[in-house]
Amino acid sequence: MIASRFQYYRPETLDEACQLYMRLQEAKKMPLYYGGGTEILTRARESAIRPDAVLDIKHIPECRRLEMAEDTIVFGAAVTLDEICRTNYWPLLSDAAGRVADHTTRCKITLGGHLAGTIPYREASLPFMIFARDAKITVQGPAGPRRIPLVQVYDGQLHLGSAEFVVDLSVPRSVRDYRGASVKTTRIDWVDYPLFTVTMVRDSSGVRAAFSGVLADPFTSASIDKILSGKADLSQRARESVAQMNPIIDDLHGSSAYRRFRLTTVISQLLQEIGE
Amino acid sequence: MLSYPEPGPLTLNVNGDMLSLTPRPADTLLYSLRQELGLTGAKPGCENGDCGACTVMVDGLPIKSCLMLTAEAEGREIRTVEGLNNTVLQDAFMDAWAFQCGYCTSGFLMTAHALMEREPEADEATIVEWLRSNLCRCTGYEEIVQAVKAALEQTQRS
Ligand code: FES
Ligand code: FES
Repeated sequence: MIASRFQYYRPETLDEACQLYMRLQEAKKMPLYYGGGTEILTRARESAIRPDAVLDIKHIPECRRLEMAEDTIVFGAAVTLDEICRTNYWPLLSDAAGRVADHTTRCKITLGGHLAGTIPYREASLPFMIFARDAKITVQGPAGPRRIPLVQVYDGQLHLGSAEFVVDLSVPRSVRDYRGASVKTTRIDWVDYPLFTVTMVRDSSGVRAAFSGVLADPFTSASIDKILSGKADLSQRARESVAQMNPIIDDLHGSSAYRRFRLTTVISQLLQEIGE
Repeated sequence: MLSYPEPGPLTLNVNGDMLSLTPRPADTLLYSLRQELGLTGAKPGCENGDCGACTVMVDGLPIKSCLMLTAEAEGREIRTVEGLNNTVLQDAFMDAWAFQCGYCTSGFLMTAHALMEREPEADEATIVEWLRSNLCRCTGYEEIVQAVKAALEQTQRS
């Protein structure tokens, strides 16, 4: 049971959601935008957060877009990870999103909530981070919606202004052309908090990778991409790239030494998988 | 805009019946089903989205009812284990002895029922992937997978 008392609102337009958020803030309330709500509900049950109101954005049509047009693929913030996997418009994203939590929970977790949450893994953001220069994000704020390059507001953590929320993410359809793969590792069971996740892509300029569960937040690194794109044998490239990662997380799911060991194996395996 | 600033009356479509209740806006669907509607088939286990004992179907999808607000479920079709009556799946669980204490069973049944509706041709890998959403502390997993396979096969035959 959730002990705290919060209000529930179901806005139907972007403006309505944002205006309501600001009104609640002016009234000294703490509103939260609510997508799948999985993290909000579990944290509220533990009284780790005490929102005054949740604004359910799932009924705003712009947040529910899931479309593959001639040159762009659009993923609305309120689209669930299960919907992303099922439509499979971007197989690399389906791979990464399809390993978040478990199947039933993926029917509830939304892309926007996944990116904006405090759970640090955000595995479904890895394909977007690899294509960060091409990926765009639409953010709704007090001045209306703005569509900007993803890198401006996402570096493994989402940096939005007050009253802003994510409407959608989009990538050029050409991202489908690159050979890529994503691997999530866990300590024991298939469904578990990740030890780490690695997503890798190979294009004409070389190899690009994104990592989660290794450092505090998901990241990409130009110097690691350079090593991965080099000519050394696969295991040496893997060892050298892992040597660049510091400080590697050391927690209950795995020590940093164990993560380093597993990372080296997984990176070699992924390099092979993408045709290096 | 639909809003529930305070506890207020709303109507839920549960197993085809329109049921009235007065939840707090912060009440989960699990809480309302059990405490307000007396539908105790969905079980509270972890109440944290981990165990799947509280699984129900919402618009044909399996949903952990501890991870959904009651207000969020308004306007959607909810199906609980009480809405399954003598289904092939339930018989298959009996035949395969796919439970021991039974606490997890209604959650497994609802996950599997959603699977049968959405993926009637599911192979074993798909069955296992869906069932991984649920935990059984009596660890009867093998029998549960066998029961779902048997139910799917029987449905395909008929
Ligand atoms: S009680 Fe809902 S998942 Fe455990
Ligand atoms: S039969 Fe006891 S928990 Fe599953």
